[in-house]
Amino acid sequence: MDLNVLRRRRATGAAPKRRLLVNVINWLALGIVLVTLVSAVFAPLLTDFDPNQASPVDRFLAWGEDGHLLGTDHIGRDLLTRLLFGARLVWIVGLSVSLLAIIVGGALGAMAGYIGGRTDDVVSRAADAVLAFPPLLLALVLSAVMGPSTRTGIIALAIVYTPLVVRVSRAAVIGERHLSYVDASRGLGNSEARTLIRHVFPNVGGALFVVGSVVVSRAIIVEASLSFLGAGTQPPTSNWGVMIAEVRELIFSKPGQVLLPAFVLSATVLSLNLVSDFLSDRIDPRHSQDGLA
Amino acid sequence: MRCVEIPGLDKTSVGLLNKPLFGSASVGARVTHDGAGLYKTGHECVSLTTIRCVGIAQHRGFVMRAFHRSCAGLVLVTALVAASCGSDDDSGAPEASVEQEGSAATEPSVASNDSVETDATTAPVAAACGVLEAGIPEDFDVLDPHIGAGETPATWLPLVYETLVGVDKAADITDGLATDWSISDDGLTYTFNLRQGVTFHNGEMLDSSHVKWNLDRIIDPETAASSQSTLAVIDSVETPDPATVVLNLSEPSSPLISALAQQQRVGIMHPDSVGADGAFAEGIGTGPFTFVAYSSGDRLQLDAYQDYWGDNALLEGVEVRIIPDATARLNALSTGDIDFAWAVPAEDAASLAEDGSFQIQENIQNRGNFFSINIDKPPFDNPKLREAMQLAVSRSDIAAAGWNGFAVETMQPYNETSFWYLDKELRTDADLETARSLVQEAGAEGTPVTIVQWDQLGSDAEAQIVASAWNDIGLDATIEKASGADLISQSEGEDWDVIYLWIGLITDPVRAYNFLYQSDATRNGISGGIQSDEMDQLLTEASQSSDPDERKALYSDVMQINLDLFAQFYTVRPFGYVGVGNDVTGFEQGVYYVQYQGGGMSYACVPADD
Repeated sequence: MDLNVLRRRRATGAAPKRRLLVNVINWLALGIVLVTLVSAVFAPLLTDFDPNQASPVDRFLAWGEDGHLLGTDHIGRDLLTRLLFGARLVWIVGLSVSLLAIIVGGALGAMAGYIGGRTDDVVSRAADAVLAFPPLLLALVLSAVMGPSTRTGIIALAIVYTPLVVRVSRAAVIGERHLSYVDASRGLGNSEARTLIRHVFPNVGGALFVVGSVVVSRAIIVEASLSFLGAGTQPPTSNWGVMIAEVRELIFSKPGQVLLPAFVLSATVLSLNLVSDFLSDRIDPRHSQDGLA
Repeated sequence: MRCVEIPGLDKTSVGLLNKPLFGSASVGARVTHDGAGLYKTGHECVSLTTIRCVGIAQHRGFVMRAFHRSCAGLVLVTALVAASCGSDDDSGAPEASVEQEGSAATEPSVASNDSVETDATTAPVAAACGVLEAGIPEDFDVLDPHIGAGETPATWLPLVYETLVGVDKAADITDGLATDWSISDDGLTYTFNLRQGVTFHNGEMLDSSHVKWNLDRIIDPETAASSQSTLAVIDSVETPDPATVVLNLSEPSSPLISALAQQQRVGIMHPDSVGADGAFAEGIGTGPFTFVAYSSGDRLQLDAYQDYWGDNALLEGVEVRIIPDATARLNALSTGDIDFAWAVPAEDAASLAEDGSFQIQENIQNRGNFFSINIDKPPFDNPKLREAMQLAVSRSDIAAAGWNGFAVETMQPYNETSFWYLDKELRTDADLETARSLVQEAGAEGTPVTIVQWDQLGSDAEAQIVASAWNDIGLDATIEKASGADLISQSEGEDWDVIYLWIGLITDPVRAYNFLYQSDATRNGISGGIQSDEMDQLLTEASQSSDPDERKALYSDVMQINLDLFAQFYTVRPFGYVGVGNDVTGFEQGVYYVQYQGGGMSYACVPADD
């Protein structure tokens, strides 16, 4: 945004209100992310129910009935429990995919950017080739080949999102490698590998962190889609995509059953996006306008 | 296309003639299509049809009045049409008839014409039935009427191919391409008299040599026909004259007649359907519809066959579209994108049907979901543990929660209306107390149980309810999904605990019992691996007996052995539903089949402009 516009807004007092709103939204998003994280870690402590134990007599209980805070599903499982355990899977998937993608993609990208030449060509073209496929389609194909399971989903998504990290990592390293501190490190007699790992890498870590957080939220939604389509996590394992799929035939008669996990999934992914957006602002102050002030 | 100009017949009256009041079974009139000619109204060219006023039921006043008026007017129109067609030098005069039965039908005022029979009053009428579009979940594997055994070919191929022995709406045996048959006293010689005037879609008359060719092809193991094993008792096929087929059997076989009625397995096609290399090329049948085009995974197009031996199909054609997702199929039906949907999800269909764009008809099937316990693998070889596992399962819970109430508890594969339904005690609720103590007696607490479920079939909820029930009595149950091929090969091995499957598409009990329980049966593993000499003896007797009551008693004993062994147990029979658009008239779903003798798709009509 044009700086003058910002200044004018500040002068008229419009900006503080907007800043406040943005702040509230950001804090809310961070709150939601933290709630899901806490749910994921402490799921078994937060509920007395077994997420997979069916109890047909208790099916379709309303909110709050018989100690089921969010009611029960079509075979009488506690919905809150399933959402909590679903959060656990969401974070396991999101973080594993992100971590795998960052380790593999970060290393490949840094190598390509730092060494350049033929290595760069090979890595970049391979990344382009993978990026040419729509993520969901590629993940579907991979999981069809490997057989549907949560682990398959994680591996497939890691493969899908690695090229994204490769590009960011490569660009960041290219940006750094001609800076004088790199020459200084070389001048001190450090090996290329040591220079890259000890000096260049910390300087591109911020960018990797941001892309990693983007990958987390994308991986979550694509894994939920995979599971919804039956190519990821398999029922009865509690997964938000599975939860939606299991009751999707009831969308007209019992819409709440479908909307609840769908809403939780959307809210989580939206919050993660907002948080990662905010993080990128904080880590790269040049883009910063608003944030958690 | 030749059009006949009819003065004074406007679009409205044509529309009226085609509306449900005539086509609908609810007013007792049935519109049949003779395909003999066309007439023109305004700018539209519409097919000529005949109307049979077969009694009139109660209906709304307007409709009744309209019906009375037009039934009389119809005959007039008919005569006009007939006259104009008859005077045409092209001799395609419509052979049209209005058969009036029942007192409510109006007295025909007939303008006499030589093509109009005055006793069975003749009335060709405009009914511009169009192409019915149907949505189905699964693709056709094959269009060869000797191979196809899946649900899709079973349901739809009878539109194109017919069988020697036919089935009626209840899937009971009736005449087919053979008008009647006799069985010799020793049960070794079957003599079939073929129907006269049946033509193949290539115009050739059906005779006994064609039937022989078909049967020989089915019996030939190289064809890998799905009924090969059942029909293998046929020693030779003789054709003493073009209208008679004689089957000589090596041993008496009670399921032979019903095996010859399995529309998806023993359809009669013209020998030219098979190419020089022996492979199936194009289907030439005798049914009311002919193949037009088929694209795998997409759609099958059929046209009405105009020289059909029975009542010609009213519809111009049928387009069967493959729409795998149930919700998508239902949406397509409710938006009018398709006119007919096979296998619609019950609960949503019921609530959507209330909006009035379509209705649902139950597709009563012989079907049973079942769980089989591996009786050879410890600790499941302990009958106490198996009894406990069965006692823990509440069939009423499965019906209510696993299938949202759209299923009925059962302990056998036949539905209550079937002759083969066994009168045995059915436990609907669980007995967890007894089950728990049995588990303790068996010393099987904490036993891991893996339920293998076919990934394409069954209800996740049902498997989950059963797994939870088993956890409740102290076992540790998990669910694993496998492809059909994996599941079959697992069941043939020794290292499996429980298989969750269903059996369906059965008419004769040979398929329901011998197939599963005989010690050397192809699918013996699926029933838990029962190896019982007593059972084998009973099954052999049952398949050789020709007395249905005796057979039923034998099968009842077979089932009892299975129950006493606690090997395989049935849980529920889910209801099947078809969705039928409101503008479709005259269609009634049969047991399994959308086409059967005297009813089904060829009697349906959907307005052409739809």
